[in-house]
Amino acid sequence: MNQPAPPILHEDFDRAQDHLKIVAARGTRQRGWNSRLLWLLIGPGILAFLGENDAPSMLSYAATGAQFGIGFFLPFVILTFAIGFVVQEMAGRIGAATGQGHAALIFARFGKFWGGFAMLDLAAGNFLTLVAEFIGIRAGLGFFGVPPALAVGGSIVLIALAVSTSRYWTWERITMVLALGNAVFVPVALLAKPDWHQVGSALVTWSPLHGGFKPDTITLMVADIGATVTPWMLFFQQGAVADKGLTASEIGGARLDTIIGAVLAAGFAIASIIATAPLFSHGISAANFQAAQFAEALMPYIGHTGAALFAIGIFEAGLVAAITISTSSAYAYGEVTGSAHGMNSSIRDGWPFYLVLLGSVCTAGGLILIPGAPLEDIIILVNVVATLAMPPALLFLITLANDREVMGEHRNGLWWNIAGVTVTIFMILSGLLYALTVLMPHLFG
Amino acid sequence: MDTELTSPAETLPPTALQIAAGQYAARRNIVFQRVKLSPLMRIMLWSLRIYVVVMLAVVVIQLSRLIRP
Repeated sequence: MNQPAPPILHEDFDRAQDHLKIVAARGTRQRGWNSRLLWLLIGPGILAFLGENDAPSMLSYAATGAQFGIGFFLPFVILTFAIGFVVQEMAGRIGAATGQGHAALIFARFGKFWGGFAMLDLAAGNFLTLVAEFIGIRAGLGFFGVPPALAVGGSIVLIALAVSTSRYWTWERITMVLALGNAVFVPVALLAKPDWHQVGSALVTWSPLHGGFKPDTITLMVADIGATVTPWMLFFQQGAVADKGLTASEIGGARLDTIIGAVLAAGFAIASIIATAPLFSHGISAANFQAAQFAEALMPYIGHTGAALFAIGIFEAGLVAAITISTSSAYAYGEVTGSAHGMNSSIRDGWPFYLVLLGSVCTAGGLILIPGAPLEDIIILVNVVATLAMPPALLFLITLANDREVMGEHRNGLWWNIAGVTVTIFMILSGLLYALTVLMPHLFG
Repeated sequence: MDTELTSPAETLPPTALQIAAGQYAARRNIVFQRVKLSPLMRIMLWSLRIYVVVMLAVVVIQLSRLIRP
């Protein structure tokens, strides 16, 4: 007996419309078709990576540059972005091959019990990170004297405006423009007048770590790893690829999008490290610096303009991440509950999706307005938590990427599995090393 | 003449947009069945679950040290 055709919703027409543009761009060989096709395909990968260059991450990089200079950490950051690419490529590929989100597939293939754990990790991590984003937003705008309530309230209004279009394409382009604001760290780095010979040398020769491996150093290294790979990025990129309507024939384009995102984010992360390196070279202790204190401390070396740009960068990083992280929560919620879940959903169909998205940002934003709450301390630890929560997320990801029934011919090859398993072992070992520094600090001198 | 009998959508052949939208609707509604987890997979899932719980306890210890005046 034939199954009745599933109902075609508003979101299906939107996706179809976007996809027909891709097909048309691919079919033509007029001048500039390559650029046109690239323009249509990019989005989820860039947003995942630039979204992860969030306020806690940029502050981790800033703390890294201020405490250790550039010698060890520039190549280390490049390594973490290579790890990020391996992981995000799989998420993008699964999204394009199946058209389904990460949470939906985990629930379908592993069942509610394991799916529930994955959701618990995601929900807890996302909420903690969202709080940290609003700390960044408050601190960044606080540099200009903007009151916290206005900074938080204004950001929530901006986020609501971006999602109110009920159109994935429009939302993606608005968020991408905001995300490219992360480039503000490049002029800040230039204002720090770095020794380019030293930067080049640091990139090609991996210098030993200044001061050796001490507990604080290892915490910062683990935070830098968590600044590049984190569970929400998997849920976001796979969900966004499905929401955008990319199909198996666009896997190559999705991969290119991921590469562009990783390269841009690595460049901006390196710029943040270079920008704060003068604090290291002038012997200024930045071990306990928080949020906007970096901008103020940098002022003598990069001027008021540079410090203002740094503060804008922290605000922008927090704002974009608040959009992408809350979107990943909303995707996961919609996929698990079976309700409409996508930026193409109308407000009427997808109200639970939009409610989760805006509800999470309002709650996190409201929390940081509580006077005296000791929230600044969590900002670096947020990235540490992300690193610690990654191994189970990677196990789900690699298993799904190898699932013949789900992925068909697009499942992982041998080398991608070797890379994925290596990344997982690296993350587990990083977590264990961090635990040792906390529980047995005497081992590290 | 009864113009209410058929709507244009029913009389005209489906457009490329309608076909593509139908394909997206079908794709959205694919249901993958649950797989039976192998013993090795169960061991790995439980091990990593315990790992996360222990690691979060370590984070709480560090956080309590940071917050302590």
